[in-house]
Amino acid sequence: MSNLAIQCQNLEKRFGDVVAVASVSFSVAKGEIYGLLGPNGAGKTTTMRVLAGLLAPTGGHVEVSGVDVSTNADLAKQQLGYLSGGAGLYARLSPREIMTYTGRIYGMAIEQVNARTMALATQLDMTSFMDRKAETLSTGQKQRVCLARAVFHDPPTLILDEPTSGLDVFASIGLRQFVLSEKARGKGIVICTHYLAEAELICDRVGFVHQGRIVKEGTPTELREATGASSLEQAFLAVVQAQ
Amino acid sequence: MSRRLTHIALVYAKELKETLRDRRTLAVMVLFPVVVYPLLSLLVGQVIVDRESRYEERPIAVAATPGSQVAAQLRTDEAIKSLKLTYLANGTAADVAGRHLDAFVEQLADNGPPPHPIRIVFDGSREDSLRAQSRVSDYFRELLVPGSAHQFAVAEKDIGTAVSRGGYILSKVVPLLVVLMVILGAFYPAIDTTAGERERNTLETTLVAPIKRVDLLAGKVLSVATLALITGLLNLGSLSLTFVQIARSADVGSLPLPWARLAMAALVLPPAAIMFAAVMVMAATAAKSFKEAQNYLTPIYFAFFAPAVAASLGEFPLTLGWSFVPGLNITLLTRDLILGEARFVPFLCFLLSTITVTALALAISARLFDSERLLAIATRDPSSKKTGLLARLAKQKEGTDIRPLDAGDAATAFALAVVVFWILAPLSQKHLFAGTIASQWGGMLAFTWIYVRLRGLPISQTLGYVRPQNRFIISAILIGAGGWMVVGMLTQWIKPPSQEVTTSLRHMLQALSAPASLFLFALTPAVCEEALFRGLILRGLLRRFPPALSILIVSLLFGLFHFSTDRLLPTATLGALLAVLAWRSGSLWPSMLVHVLNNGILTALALSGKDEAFDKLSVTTQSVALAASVACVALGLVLLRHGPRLPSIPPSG
Repeated sequence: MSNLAIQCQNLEKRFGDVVAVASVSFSVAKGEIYGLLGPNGAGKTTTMRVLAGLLAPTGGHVEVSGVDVSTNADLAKQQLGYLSGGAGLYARLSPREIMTYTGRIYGMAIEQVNARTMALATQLDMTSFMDRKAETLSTGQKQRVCLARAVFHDPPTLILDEPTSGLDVFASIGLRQFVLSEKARGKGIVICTHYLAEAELICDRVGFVHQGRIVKEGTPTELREATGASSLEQAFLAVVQAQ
Repeated sequence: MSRRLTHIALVYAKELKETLRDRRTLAVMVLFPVVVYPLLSLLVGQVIVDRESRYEERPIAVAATPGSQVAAQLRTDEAIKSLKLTYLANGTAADVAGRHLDAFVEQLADNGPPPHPIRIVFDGSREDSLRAQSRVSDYFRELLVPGSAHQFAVAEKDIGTAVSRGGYILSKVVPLLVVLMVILGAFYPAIDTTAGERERNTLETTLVAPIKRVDLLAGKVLSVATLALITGLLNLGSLSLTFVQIARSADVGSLPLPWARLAMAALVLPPAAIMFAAVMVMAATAAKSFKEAQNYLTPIYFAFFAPAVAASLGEFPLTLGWSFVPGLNITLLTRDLILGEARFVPFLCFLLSTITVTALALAISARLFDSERLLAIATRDPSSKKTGLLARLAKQKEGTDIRPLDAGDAATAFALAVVVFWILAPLSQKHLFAGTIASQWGGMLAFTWIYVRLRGLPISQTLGYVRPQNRFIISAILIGAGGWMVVGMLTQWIKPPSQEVTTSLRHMLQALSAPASLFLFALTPAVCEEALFRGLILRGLLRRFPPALSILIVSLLFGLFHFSTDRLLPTATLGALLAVLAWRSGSLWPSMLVHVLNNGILTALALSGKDEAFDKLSVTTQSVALAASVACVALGLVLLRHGPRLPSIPPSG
């Protein structure tokens, strides 16, 4: 049994002549938070989408919880919770209905669905709006529902693409706490963000993505020390400018 | 105030600029109203007029009281000719109810001075019987004896039951409205579940789940079909009840409806709803946004709507051929079910056609659902984004933006060519030679060349004026030698040209010398139409679509451009042969050669008065000639199997 939540080797993704991801390799252990950091257009979201089975890689090899994404997509998806940046909700359904739908899609029995809904509603402080239409919720409330939906089937691996985008300080803190609690439960987590300060707070290891490649990898401390920078942001700039 | 006006002007200019830069909006705004809708309306109009004229020519079956004066009158040559009737000597009044007769004329008294009382027995719930009643009644009412007295006093007796009459009136209104409501019922749900979901960013989350995309598609299509079906059923029920209420309030008395037949008519709705749902989901899946999906679905709505309207106007029998036309077949079958006149074979054909269209739409949707296009990920280099016509023209001038022809060019060129041709074509009616020169050489060839030059492209390379390999010339000669007869037979099989058309064509040819006729009818179309269709349009399409689809589209456009429903299929067939030749050879010359041979042979036959000689040959000779022609075309096509395929054009993709 692999101890890795994610293994990504020489991943390449092209759209016609455009190379979105040139060659990305990294791995994430169970109980680890790995940050993919980089500017817009660096190839982070494309990498995430390949990991989530939304896009087929044009080269390389990707495994989620030991399952090959290319050859066993459905099983790989079962191992994965994916929160995409700017994900929307079914506006005319309530959070409870959305969770029920999600649980049933993942093959959970209705009793399991109900129990999991209750647990997540409490854990993410959603009980007060569980039966309101999603279109009436605030940005923070919607993001909590999106997160609940992503982790509903309790997968061992999580991919979170820009999870705190657009959230206020309180909502961001709440979301980070949830992510850390999932890590404590042994889940392997990849976070994709361009908020470098946030990554510094919660990531165990970080990979800097630039022009479709991981140009530097290590713990936040290692990266700061290697570049002589005082923050991860400055470390990133130093690495990119050296390219 | 001026500041506010400036703001209004700024917003106005920005909105216009943004909207007009959307090519799809432009297509809906310009291409459809200017070209597609008039073209479709024209074709539908032609179908209706054609059906109506055929219907007027259809004989009516009439009988009369045996041995009576009225029977003698109906059997005269003059009555048979003017009433277009078939007289059935053994017919009785009961045959009208049994649908063997359209009308029966009873002579109520033979003796005494005129007018002699007669009574026309008809069935007011049948179109044929109503027509017979109208013709016979008018005829006898106008029949005078010497001294200007009426020969007959005409009375009428409608033997149709109240239920049948109710069904007849309903059959005039309900089928079209129900079909339209089912299409409308599918319209917005199809957009909402596909493009709408993508726009709301909920699709990606669903695709991440371990659900087969085909299952996702099936769920969506079924939900759209259910909503469309509910809309259709509610409308069917509501319209029927409204009809009953109107009959009551209009003091028509009780007008019972054939509820059992209405229930049977409802059986048409589920397959129709699934088909509309599948087609609309397919189109909406290809769209990236709600607005774009609306643009895609509007012409589809019209494509179903137009034949449905055509079917609802006038008397339109559900023949085998029509039972395969989506939209039209649903309207006609619903009508026949309400009238209790539905037949099994057309019903089967309707099912077959509906299942085929549905399966095709689902197959295309499944491919779209399985592709990365579904996520609407931008795969183009952002630097290649287009910015409006003027900016692009400026770039072309600088030589920095010379793109090859694409599908957008094909659509634009076709639209403009139709408009230019419509403007110039009336000239050829006033002056045949000069008008045709203007519309063909000016409206088509010069237009095509100017378009290509304005795009900053070289004419000869872009349109394919390049030397082909010799075997393509041989292939063209073979196809040209046999194609005219194959296409001619197809025309004869669909609908032979009327005597009027043939005579008019002969008069045109007689007005010109032989060389002038050949120049005008053989060389001119070959040069001009090939440049536009197999040059600009086909080559543009090939950059966007696979060859088979490109050839199909350009052939249909070529067929439509000839503005005749009867000639649509034969012309499109010829267009397909020409397009295959142009695609395979990579040159325009072979298709021009086939075109000139096809038109030249037909013109020469007409000039020599031998254009009808084929009909006078024995069946064996005809069969041998046709087989030889098919063999020529087949051999010509075989020669095309290997070799370059439009080498001047990069592969589609």
